Amino acid sequence: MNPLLEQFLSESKDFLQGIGEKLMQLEDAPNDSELMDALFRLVHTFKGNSGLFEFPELTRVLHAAETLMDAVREREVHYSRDLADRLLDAMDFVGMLCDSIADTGAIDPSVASDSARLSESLMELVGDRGEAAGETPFAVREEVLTDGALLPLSEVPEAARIEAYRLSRGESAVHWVEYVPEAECFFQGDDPLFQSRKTPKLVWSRMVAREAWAPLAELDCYRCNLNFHMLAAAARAELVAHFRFVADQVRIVAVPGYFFALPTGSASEHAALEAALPSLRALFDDGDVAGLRAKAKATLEAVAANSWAASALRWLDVLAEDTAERPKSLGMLLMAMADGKGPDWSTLAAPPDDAGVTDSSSPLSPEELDAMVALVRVQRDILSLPREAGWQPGRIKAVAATLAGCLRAAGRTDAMASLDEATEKSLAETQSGALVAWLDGTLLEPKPARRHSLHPSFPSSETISSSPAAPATGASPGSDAPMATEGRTARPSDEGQGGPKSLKVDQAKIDRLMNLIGEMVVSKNALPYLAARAETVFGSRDLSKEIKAQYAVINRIAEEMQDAIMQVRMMPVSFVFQRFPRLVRDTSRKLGKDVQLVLEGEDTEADKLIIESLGDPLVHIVRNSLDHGFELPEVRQAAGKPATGTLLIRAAQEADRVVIDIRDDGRGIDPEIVKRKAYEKGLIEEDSVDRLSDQEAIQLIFAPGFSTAEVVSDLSGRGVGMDAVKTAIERVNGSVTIESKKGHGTSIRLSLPLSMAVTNVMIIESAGQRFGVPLDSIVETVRVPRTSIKAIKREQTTVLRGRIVPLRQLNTLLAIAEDAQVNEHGELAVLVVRLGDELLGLLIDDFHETVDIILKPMTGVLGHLGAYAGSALMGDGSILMVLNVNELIP
Amino acid sequence: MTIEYVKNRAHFRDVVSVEDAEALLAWIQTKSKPRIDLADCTHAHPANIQVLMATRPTISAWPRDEDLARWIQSALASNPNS
Repeated sequence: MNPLLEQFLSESKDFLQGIGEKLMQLEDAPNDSELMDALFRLVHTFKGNSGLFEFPELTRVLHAAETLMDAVREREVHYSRDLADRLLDAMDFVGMLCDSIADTGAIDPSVASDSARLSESLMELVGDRGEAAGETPFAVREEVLTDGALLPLSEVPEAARIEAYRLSRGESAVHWVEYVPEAECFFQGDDPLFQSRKTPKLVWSRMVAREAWAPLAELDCYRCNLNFHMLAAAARAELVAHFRFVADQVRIVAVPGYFFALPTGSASEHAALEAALPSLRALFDDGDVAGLRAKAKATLEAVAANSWAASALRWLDVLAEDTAERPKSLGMLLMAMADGKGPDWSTLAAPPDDAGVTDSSSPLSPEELDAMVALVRVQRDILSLPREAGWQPGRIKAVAATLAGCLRAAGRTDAMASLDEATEKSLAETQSGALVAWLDGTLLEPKPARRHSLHPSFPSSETISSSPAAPATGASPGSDAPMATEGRTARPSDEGQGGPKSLKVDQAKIDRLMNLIGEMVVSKNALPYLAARAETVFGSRDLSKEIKAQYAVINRIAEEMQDAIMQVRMMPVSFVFQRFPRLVRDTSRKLGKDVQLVLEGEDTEADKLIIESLGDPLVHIVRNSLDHGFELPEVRQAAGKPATGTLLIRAAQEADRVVIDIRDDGRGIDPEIVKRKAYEKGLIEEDSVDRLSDQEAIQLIFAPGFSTAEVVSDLSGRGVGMDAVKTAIERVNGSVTIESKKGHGTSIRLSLPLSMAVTNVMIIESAGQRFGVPLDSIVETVRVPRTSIKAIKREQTTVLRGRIVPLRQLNTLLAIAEDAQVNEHGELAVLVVRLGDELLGLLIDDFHETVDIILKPMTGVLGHLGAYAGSALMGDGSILMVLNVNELIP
Repeated sequence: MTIEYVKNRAHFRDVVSVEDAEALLAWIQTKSKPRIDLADCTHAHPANIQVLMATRPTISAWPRDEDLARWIQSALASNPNS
């Protein structure tokens, strides 16, 4: 799979996640336009990215979603639950497609119909806007060229112009498309070249630099400095639709055909042309088109092909093809030929195809003009600032670039040359004087007249988005020079902060780091043994001390490293929580219930493994709660509760554990029903039915195979729920407790360790072997005189703090035929461990120190040995077997 | 990477993405006579083309994709610095 696609797939997950989240948030605040914008941008970027690949099914759905969100954003379609449903459906579908691309590298063609159906259902909501997509809000206003000088048509090669001219005589007008992408557009995932390349019916195209390139050392290749110029023979609507997402950056001008007829070339052959002109003129006056063309061709052969004269003759031939326009256009061209300069087609400018729409002579809006005036004044202020040697050239350049932008926007390209001159003079003198003089003389002439002096020369700039935030920079496609200049001068300072703040790292790499650090911890632990050997075997006490000192340093660093890698592995619980808004929404609606979800403490962090293992149990609990816990709104109201139920999921850190509370205010658990069910399923004896307290009865829901739901639904009730939850949580050394009050709701509390990576174990000794026991499960260590051990029937017991504790020989449990040893005071070592809610004393030989170890689970052939939680490598190279107390007791 | 650097040549392959531009710019600056082979390129993000426009390396082969070749040629023909 190519890396681009890989990246797209990995990003698509973020996009889908983000889109889902934003939709959820919109549900609560359907009028939040910022949210809508954010959502639209997400969908837009996602779609844009998807367009890089050949996945039409994917792009089609995203496109429809984008159009819909666009309509919502523009308040043409109201946000509704139905809309959210359809969008979510569509996003699920997209997620499925992405998965299938990830698996097989392609999309099963059979989903094409689903894709079409989903797009249709989205477009349905857009309604009649569907056809006019992009037309209404963004419509680049109709613009027809009336003055050839406004566009650099002469820079288009003649062949392309001839083709454009011929096309414009046919079905559709030819449009000049000028696409000036935002400087920051690369960061928004735009690829303006791709967009331009896909322009329908391109006749000619080019890409030019907007302004001079910065010196290489300062060049920012991610700041778009490109303009795209195109001639396209597509209908205006088609072009508008194509560029609708960058409509504020695009100018589309219909170019009447004759504007293409610009003779270009060197003036060398003028004499030959002048000689032929009288006879051409005569043929034209006689209306002898065939003769005219023949004469033109004959003359053409006599002049150099690259001359202006040849070009004019070629155009004469092309223009003569067209019978309708011929009399006027040929006449004008002939006149121009006599003058030796291009015909001024603007006199013909009542366009035959769509007369009347011409509004290109309209001046800039007063606001835009004011902005421009303000901009120019600021430039003058900058120039009159006290002179500072190092800055002056930069200032002059910046001002010059800005002024050039203003001139372009104002269409006063005539003043460009003088501006350049003044700039160069200023630069040479490193004095702003020349430029100020130019400014005062050219742009800031007598104030009252100023407005008028600018007015007529402004070209139409209908494409302007009158965004109030940037009146000056938005003034016209050409005027973003100030913005770019600003950006360039500011660049050195933001170089340091550039680049992403976070890294996406493959988990395998972190795991490897983790393992390596684990190994280092282990080998570090070998140093104390070495120190001991130095003293006992080699008799060097000093060396031993030095080794110990070094060990202390390495130990501190290793611990910090361990801590750091733990931090890397830490993830916020929001990773799990983020799926709940959608789950609760969908499920509760399916069940006809009204439930409000409250999430708290989403930024609480825990180890990745813990967070991941939390996912499924939480989903079980939440589903159970929605299915069994909450009542229907009518029932709730009848019971005097608010119709909307509240489901609270709260995470918090307590000491070294993460505690997650899931609380609902539903009907609670009825202990009587639980008891009856448990009895029916044979989980409890008949006599214990009455004996069990309510709280005890409720705990029965954790028993394997327990379900109270009358009907097995697709949500819950298959009897795998709570017992699976308990198992999953216990697997990561967590615990589950439940409290419930009938009629008032249920509260489930999950308590999990923050991290699993390092396990704190106590080393014990039994039958000459060392074992580790996780400190989590140890309650206390006591030495009990042999005389205090009493036998009840065949069970050994003792009394600790007024409580009877059953005792077991660890040796017996491990099938070692030896008794626990008694110390010199006739006492037995008893390790009191917790087994669920019960206590149990393990008889062992001796206690040793506690150590932090990296626990490696048993794998392979040994994997089924439940009595061991795993093994760990000790500092002296020995292996420590760590007991799993829960599994040890049959 | 969709740009392959071999000595003083950079071969553009298939789709050259936006991420490649920065490395390309850095690479060109280290070479005295960088040569760019675009023959196998089907699309290049404009950030890369900007780099070519600003640095003017020798183009040893134009893209076989004629459309792309036209675009890049037009870009390199324009020169606001001169």
